[in-house]
Amino acid sequence: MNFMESSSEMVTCPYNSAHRMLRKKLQQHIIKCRELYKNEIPLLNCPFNNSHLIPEPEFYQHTKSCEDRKIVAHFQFSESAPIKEDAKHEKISADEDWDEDNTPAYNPQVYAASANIVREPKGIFPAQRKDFIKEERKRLGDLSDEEKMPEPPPPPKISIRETTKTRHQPYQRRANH
Amino acid sequence: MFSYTLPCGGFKTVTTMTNEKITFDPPVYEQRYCYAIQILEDPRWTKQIKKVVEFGCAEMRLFNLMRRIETIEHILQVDIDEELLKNNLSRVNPLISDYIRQRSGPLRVEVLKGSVADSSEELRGTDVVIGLELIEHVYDDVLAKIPANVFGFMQPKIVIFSTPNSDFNVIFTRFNPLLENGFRHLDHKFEWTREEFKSWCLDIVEKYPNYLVSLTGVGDPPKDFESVGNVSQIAVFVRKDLLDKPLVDPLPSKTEPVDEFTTPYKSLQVVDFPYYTDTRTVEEKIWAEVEYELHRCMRSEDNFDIQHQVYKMPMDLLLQHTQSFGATPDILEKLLEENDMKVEDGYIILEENPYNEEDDLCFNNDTSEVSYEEVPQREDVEENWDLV
Amino acid sequence: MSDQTRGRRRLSGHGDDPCSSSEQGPRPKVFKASGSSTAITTVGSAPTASGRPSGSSTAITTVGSAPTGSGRPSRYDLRYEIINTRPSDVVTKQGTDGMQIRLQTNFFRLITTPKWRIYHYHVEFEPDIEMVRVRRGILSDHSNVLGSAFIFDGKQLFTTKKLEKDLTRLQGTSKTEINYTITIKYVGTISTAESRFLQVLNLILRRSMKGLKLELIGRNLFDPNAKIMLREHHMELWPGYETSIRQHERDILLCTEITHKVMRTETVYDILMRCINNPARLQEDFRTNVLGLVVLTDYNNRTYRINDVDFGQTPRSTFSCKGKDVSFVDYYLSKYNIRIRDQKQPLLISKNKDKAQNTQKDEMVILIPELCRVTGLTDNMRNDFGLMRAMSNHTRMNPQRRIERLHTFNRRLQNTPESVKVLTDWDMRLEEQLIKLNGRVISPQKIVFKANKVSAGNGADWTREFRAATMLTTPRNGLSRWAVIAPERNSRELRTLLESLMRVGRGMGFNISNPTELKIRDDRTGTYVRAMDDCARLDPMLVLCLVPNNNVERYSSIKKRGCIDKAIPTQVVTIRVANNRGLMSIATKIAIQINCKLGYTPWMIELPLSGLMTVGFDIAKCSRDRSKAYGGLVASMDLKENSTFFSTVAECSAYDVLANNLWLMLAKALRRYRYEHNKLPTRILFYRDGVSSGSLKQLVEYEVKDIAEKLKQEYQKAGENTQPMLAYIVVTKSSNTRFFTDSYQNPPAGTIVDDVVTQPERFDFYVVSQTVRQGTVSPTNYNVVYSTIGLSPDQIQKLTYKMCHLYYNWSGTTRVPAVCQYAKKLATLVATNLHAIPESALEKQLYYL
Repeated sequence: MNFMESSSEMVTCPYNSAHRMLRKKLQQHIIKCRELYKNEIPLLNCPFNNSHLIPEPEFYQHTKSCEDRKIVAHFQFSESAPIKEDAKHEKISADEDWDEDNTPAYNPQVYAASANIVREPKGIFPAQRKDFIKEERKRLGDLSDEEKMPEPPPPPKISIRETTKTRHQPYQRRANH
Repeated sequence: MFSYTLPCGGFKTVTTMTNEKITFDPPVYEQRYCYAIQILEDPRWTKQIKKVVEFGCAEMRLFNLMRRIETIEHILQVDIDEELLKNNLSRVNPLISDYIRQRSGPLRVEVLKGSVADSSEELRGTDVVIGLELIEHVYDDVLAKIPANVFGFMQPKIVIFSTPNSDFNVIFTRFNPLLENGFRHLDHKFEWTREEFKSWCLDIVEKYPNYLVSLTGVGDPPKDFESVGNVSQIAVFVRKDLLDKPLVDPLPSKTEPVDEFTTPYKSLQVVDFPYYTDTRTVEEKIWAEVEYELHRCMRSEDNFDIQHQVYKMPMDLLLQHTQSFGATPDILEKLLEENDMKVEDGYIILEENPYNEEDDLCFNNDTSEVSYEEVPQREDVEENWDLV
Repeated sequence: MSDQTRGRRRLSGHGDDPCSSSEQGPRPKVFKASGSSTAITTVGSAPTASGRPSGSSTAITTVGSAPTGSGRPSRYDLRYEIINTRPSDVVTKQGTDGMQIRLQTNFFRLITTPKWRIYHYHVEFEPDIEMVRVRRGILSDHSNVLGSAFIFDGKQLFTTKKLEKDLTRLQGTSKTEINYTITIKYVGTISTAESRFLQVLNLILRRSMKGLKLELIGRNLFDPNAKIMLREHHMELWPGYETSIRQHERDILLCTEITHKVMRTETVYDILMRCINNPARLQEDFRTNVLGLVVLTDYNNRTYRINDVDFGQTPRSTFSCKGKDVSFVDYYLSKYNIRIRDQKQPLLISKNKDKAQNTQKDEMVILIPELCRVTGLTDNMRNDFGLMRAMSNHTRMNPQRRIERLHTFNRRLQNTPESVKVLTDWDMRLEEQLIKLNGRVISPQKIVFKANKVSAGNGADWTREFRAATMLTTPRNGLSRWAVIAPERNSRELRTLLESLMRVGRGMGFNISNPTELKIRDDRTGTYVRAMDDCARLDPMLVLCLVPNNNVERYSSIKKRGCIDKAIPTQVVTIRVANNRGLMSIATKIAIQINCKLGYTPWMIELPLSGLMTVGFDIAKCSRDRSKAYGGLVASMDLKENSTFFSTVAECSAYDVLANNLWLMLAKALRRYRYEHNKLPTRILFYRDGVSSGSLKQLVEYEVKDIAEKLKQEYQKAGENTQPMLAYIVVTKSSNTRFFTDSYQNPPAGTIVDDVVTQPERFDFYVVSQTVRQGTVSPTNYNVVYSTIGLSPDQIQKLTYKMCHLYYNWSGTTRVPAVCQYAKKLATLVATNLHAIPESALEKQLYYL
């Protein structure tokens, strides 16, 4: 397979032979192309190595000859260690028992979506990122969308002290309701 | 007039003229810089040169060469074009390697916006004035004030001026016409023949009899056209005391006030180059090297004597590596003895560091301590999702 | 994202929020913090404000009306507002367990203007200019058009002032009399709502730091005027700062870390002079010593990697420069007034690889050894304890000193007019005080031995307690069948060692019998290997080799024979150790190591979970072949009753950041677990080390999703009726975050921080798991990128800390969970010594310790 040649530093994308890149960029490139071409070019994932993406007709042959097959072969054909009973021990008691616990996971995105913070752009394609930034501007109250706004005035030079004041006013007022 | 020859005896340059063009190897500007540097490094006076002022320094290219001269302590870069200076300010900054291999003496660089006609305070105490391809860019009123400022107010030991030789223009016009102003460059206010330049120089030495002048040039004429002279003509003025001749006028005093009509210079940047005066004695220097060599020796298992469980460093190898610092067998022997080092059969015997549980090699415990804080060049993988 | 979500905090114009004052118009975006100097505190102590709402969300709508604590800063109002709109079922990532501790950090808060807006332009030159400096120069002639505050990186231009037209054309002239057309094209605005804004903030900070007279080397700034000279090592240490501005849990913060850059005073020519001693091997020696070195040249600030040496050329050789042949000697003389002293030295060749990407061809640069200064440390130096100790003596700083330095940095920045001007031009301000926050200290863990449990103590070190304890598990008959190989002349040392081993073994309940002794005549590698073959016939449980020194080749050969060819664990001990005064303490460690290498366990901790498998993964680069690396995976069995580990390693490509065959390795571990316990683990706690934070997104896409999916299939295939419960945690040791106590000390082991300096889009926390005696402790960052494990943040934090108690080469806590430490150790052994995959029969033994 030409895209796996490790001797030369330039490799070719398995999805599009026009994509040439340094070997070290291959992995992140594949992640993108896999998404981009998932409907057009159905390549199969090699069970031995995630970076091997194989067209269906060659798949069987590949699984027979794949370099990384040895990881499994090694496991299957060599003797595995017997269980040592004397390495086991009495159950160690503990003060706590969490066996029955099942707490739902913390999802940082729920907090991030409502917090007054700058978020990382989502998505792996430029268009997705653009949309995300648009949404973020709306979310954080940056309404001066440049397409709609006539001409945003240059930012006034305000000293920090004034700034702080303007910032706090709305809350203070609300607090006094 | 006197005749000045470069310490190297002169340049070996090549001028080639064909039907299409004329070329100079090395280029004329490089020859000019080289000429100026050679004068500065002339062993007859190089030790007496501490402060150099360059007028019309433009992109400060000559600076890059001057700053390698270890004995110069002060360089002023003066130009009238403030924007140009500002854009090139970073050129006078020391490089990273200048902090590692430091100069042995100080060097202060000042970048100043100002005119060659103005007698600013900063110009006092100058040893050399350089003005390469400068005078032809100034109008008559400024030109007229230059001698008074340089030879009257500053009175440096050496003055170098260069300017185009218009006698040479007959060669240039074989390939390209002169510009609309009749000169080689649009900003030139005049271009002098050799006679004109010579008479300007002679006027100066007549008015300032402390100086002698030598006329020369760079950019040799092509073969068979020797009569046109050099592309660029250079005048080297030398104060008589430098040539062991008596001075005619007394030198100016430091307190003499500057002309009140003069415009003071504007300082844009002052940079002090790092320098280090090594005050160690020769023996101290040698010992530092010895320590380094012995330490290195213990880094290689090849030097480990298994039988005696010690590292061994051959004396002659140590000598070889420290010779350039002035080490001799006697000095080494003395130093080793003073520092309680054991020498046997021509080998220095190095005991292993006493066993320390924390740097236990046998266990290779890399977690026992916070490691030293070297900054490895972290190869941060940029998050780049755009299609390549 | 639904419209409702978006609208709910933004009030202007929409009448949906009764609290908003409608005359406000577009409300300025409140950017980061108030002027109040009191930092936000973790709110773990006040459950109502903790963001773990107990009741309905309406309970908190009394915005700021009755602050619970009297002196609470007004900015809490802002937080209430946020919490107010949070759905009530949102859990928090902050734990509550443990003792509260007041901490300081190496962060400063950055204050920016609310309605801050940066205009972003793209700048092009016609004709094109390559040098960024020249581009900058020409553009800065037009500062009247651009305004006083602008940042130009050579292509992108950021201004605070909007240009009149979206497409501006300017004329510029360089001094070389070339006329340029500058096209400045409007790209858009960068608002405070997007992450590019942070990049610009970093650029501005970098700009303002220029006033501090620091030198930029790589990505960080260093102060050469404050350098420390290490003459006896031909080295200098330059102190410097590593800074980064980021969005943290609630605020934009500036992290500042004091670092040191190692500069070597040697030139490549000095190295050449050392090789000259052996003329026959000169070329070979010189090559091995310099290939791959990164050098800094004396005439510019660039660094190059040396790819080759050309012995056929000298500085007198010529090269083509602007169409003419110039010798290197003349070139450096005329261009820099640098005289090359030795005109017979060979030349160095550097191939610029990054450019190759664009031009598809290699750009070659020729360098002169005399003018190249070596940078960085070689592996040889890193292994040199004397050198490392000398360096750390100078760079190590206790918290007090470090805090002082951080304050000095802040003061320098605030008092340097040039720096202040940049910041005020951009309406930015840096707070003067370090950020303070609350952490929690998990109480000391219990160390479980065979007959007793002892507390690890506040120092998290049980070295002393261990001496009186019996190891948790040892082979039933002890070390009954084993062999030693030693040179004949070292019989005395061997005797001393064996006696000590047996003595300490008895003390720990580990019976060590007399071994079969193989005396060898010489200490050649081949002799050792043959002796190993001989004793393999005895089927020993372990072979101990007494060796004269740390010769790498011999060590590797012994390990290869044992791990790859014979499946026998080996213990290599140097004679120096046997001669040492501290032999008893070393013998204790060797005895523990031997017990582990046999597959038994010195101690365990109390685990509140059964059916848990903890996994660690790390990668090491191959020492022999730059294109290869090895990934090690170490997985625990159910440690409640079977304190053993499964270790496996696979070859991978050094070019890949992410693991390609992680699943295969994990599958092996799962099958082993099932083999031993007759079922698959209930929960899997996976610690992934060795990946940079820049690759997190890819990691989730590429590794985590794959594992989660295949795990599901595996459980189905195995007929388990439960879903696998998995947590995938990325471990980062190299974080720049530091914590100090209020009294300028290192925080105690077990300190957890999960707020303020954490990142809002992550489920992350910091654990200080080690006690250090000197210097400043480095907390480890944990980022839970995926979790179906069903554990609360408290539980995950605690479990992580517990897992740092199980590295058997050290009777104290480690900086990362033991499984990661093991994985690293395994991968390193294979990558530097074995270069092949060890026998499967060893997979249940910590043979690589």
